[in-house]
Amino acid sequence: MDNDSATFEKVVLPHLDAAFNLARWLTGNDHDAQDVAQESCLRALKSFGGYRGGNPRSWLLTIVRNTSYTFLKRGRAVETIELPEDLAADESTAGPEAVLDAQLDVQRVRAAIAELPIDYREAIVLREMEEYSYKEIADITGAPIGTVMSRLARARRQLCKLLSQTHGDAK
Amino acid sequence: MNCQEAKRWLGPYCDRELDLPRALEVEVHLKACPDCERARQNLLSLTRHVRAAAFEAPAALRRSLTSQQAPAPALPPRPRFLSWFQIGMGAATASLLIGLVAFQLVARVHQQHLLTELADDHMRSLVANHLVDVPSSDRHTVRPWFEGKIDFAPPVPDLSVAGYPLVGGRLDYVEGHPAAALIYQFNKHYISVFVRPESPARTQAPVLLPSQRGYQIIAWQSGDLIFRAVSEIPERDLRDFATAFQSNAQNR
Repeated sequence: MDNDSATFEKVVLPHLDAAFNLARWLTGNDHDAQDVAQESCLRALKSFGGYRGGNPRSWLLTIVRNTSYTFLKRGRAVETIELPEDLAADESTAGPEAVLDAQLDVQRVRAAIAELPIDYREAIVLREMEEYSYKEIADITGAPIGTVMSRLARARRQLCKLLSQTHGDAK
Repeated sequence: MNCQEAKRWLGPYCDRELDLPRALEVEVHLKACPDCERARQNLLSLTRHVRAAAFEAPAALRRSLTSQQAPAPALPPRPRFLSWFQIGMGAATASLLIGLVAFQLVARVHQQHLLTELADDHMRSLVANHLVDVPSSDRHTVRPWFEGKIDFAPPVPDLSVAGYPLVGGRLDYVEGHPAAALIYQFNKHYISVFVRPESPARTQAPVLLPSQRGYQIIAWQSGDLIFRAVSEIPERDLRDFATAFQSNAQNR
């Protein structure tokens, strides 16, 4: 046992699922996500002295996010996010909602989330899966709260569309 | 509020990010508009689906991180007079201390946020003149009002004989989660009692927490509910109130 492992196991490891989940959604595959999650945990451990309190999970996820983006930049160009015209257009009018089935296949939901631009994807992961408040998401992503709010709204609208669209097709 | 506005606020409403007046406006609209209510159901269903799509860390990753010795700082040449046993004990003590300090730090910062928030909630309700959503001195009116608004049932003891008439109840948020706020009066002052579920279930007598800008805060737990009372009355009086609340809630 050395000096750091107790800290590590108590403060960092309880949030490994959250760390892996965010890395998985940002990198897009299991293998890269494992690398990013592992590297993030070790970075968290090393920089524990720089930890200024607050929620340890948020702190770890901020590191995961940075590590993911660094990783993505190294490998390939980070996806650019262009809002499709039709989505931008219907934002203000907010037409009738597509009705979602009560039962949806997990794989299909995952495929739909994977289609979202990366900014929307991280907002929706932090909100729906990690249940962070808008303020906390703003802190982690460095985006203003208003931006977080509109990303979430657009992400949800796009997901609703994708999930009601694919219904009945192919499968 | 029309449908266009309601749809705009629906996401933040479901995320519990709206201030109370606006949340209530949305609520009123939803009751009257089946279309928007359907949109709300849809949003909740989407949240459920997305939540179920989260990934878990693979067991192999967890194993590798648990077994992995954290990269140790380069050790100076080992002094001869120390046995391995002594070094081991020293390291174990140090790691325990680091862990404890880190934890207390995290816990303290966390508690500080909570205390500030509780004092703010209490103060805001006074300043904004929004003390209660359901004004009633009858606990049989206040208790059912919370049904369907929160997923737990707070006890609403009658403390009027003890000198604390019930003023009413209010839906509030603590740490981003809905909380039941019960308002009692003591002389000319108000006491807000914030109730939230807490696990593990246990019973904890009232404990005074550090006061915040002149507001006293006291917390106690009964079973799976935690109670935090905030008021400007003196510590002694708040402690009496908390004791009266806890014993009366149990005898309910």
